[in-house]
Amino acid sequence: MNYFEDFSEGNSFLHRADPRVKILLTVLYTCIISVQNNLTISLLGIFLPFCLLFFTRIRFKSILKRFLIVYIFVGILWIVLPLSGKGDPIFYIGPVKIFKEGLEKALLITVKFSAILFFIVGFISTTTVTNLFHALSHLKFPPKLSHLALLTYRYIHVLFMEFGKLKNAIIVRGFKPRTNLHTYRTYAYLVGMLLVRSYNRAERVYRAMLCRGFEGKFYLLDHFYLKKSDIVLAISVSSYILFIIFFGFKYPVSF
Amino acid sequence: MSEYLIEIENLNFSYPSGPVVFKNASLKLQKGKKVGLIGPNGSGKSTLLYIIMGLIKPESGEIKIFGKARQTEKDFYEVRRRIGLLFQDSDDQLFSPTVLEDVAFGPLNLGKKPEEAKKIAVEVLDRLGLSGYKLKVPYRLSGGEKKLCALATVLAMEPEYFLFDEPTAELDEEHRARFASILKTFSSYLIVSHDRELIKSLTDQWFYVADGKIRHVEAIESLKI
Repeated sequence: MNYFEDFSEGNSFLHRADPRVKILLTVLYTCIISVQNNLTISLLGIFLPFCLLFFTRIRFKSILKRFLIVYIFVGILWIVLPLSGKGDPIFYIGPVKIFKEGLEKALLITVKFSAILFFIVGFISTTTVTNLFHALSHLKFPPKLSHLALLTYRYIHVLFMEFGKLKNAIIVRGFKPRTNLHTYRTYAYLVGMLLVRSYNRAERVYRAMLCRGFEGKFYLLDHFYLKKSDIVLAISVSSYILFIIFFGFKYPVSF
Repeated sequence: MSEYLIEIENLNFSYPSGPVVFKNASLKLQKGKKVGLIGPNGSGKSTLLYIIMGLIKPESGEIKIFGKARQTEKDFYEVRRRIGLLFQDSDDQLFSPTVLEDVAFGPLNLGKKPEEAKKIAVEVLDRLGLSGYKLKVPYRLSGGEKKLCALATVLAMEPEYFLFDEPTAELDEEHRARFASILKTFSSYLIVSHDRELIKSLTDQWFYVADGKIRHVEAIESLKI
């Protein structure tokens, strides 16, 4: 019954690292890389998470499929950005002018994007959604939001199954999608029914919570313990960031 | 001190869409009795359970639980801490990411510290033979497993009285038997059910809900459940 491919189940050291540390490192890394204009730093920024990904033993085929979808947007940038820039174009593709500045921008964005993407896959994808929101609550993220997010996650699966049931109901009565009013109306009914069922389900869950003494306050069941390996990870990543910033300033790369 | 746990008098309630559910109905439930609530579909049996727990407010009627009148939402906080309700649909009752957290939800709301709540949750799960289910994700369990986990969530609050809404509706024979054997260790509860065998084997006092009224019944053989 697992409709969503989960990379969070695994046993590498990244999987087992404390989610709070992983979240903080991700925020730090993302902030620092995203403001970079220095290509060296950005390139080195890909290197670390790329290596770490090998250690997580994630199935590369499935990751690549998802990456492909996301890199389409990057591809669009490569088509659009090189068409603009200052000064003279460095070469022509037929009648189209290609500018150096645009190419540089496109490359920089691709590199930074990849660095952040790989880092997030390595650090956030290796954490279960529940641990993620629990960690956020520990980091002073409002518990109400975390619980809302977790409840949403839990009930998306339920709604998925409800949708499946409704779909089966129309299929066994010979429904075939075509471009006609009957099809559109049926789909509209499906969506409407799903909304109604969701609302009813939400009310029933709320009642269940009331019956277990819920009076408006959310509590956390503590279960994160900082290990030595987590501190090592935090220090290593932070040192790497400092190192690449220093290195990048000393040896900036340009075309 | 009244001998009755739950006293309901002159209950009037209709659904917003119209049909009258209860018309001057009354019900008295004592501690130490195993009660079965039977009646045709749509007669309002589940509604009665929700009224007792304060999830639905009737149009009129006196509701006294544990000797105190219950009218406002705040009045029912105590009721929900001392009476446990097992829902018909387990999916409505299991809403936390893991079974352990779901079972600990009740104790945490009762004011127990996280460590204590966890200990209680583990104890209850062990008692029901669900030790291996602590870290399982509720929505991936089978119907029978869900029902037992839902029962654990209610048990963890150590209620004085239980309300069961069609407890065996989703269960296969094996789980039904398991559920029945667990119930045999309880001393007072109310079961709403269509399961004739369950009612006969687990209850000794019966009420029949129909036509807006709740009637005490001496022998259930004569009735169509």
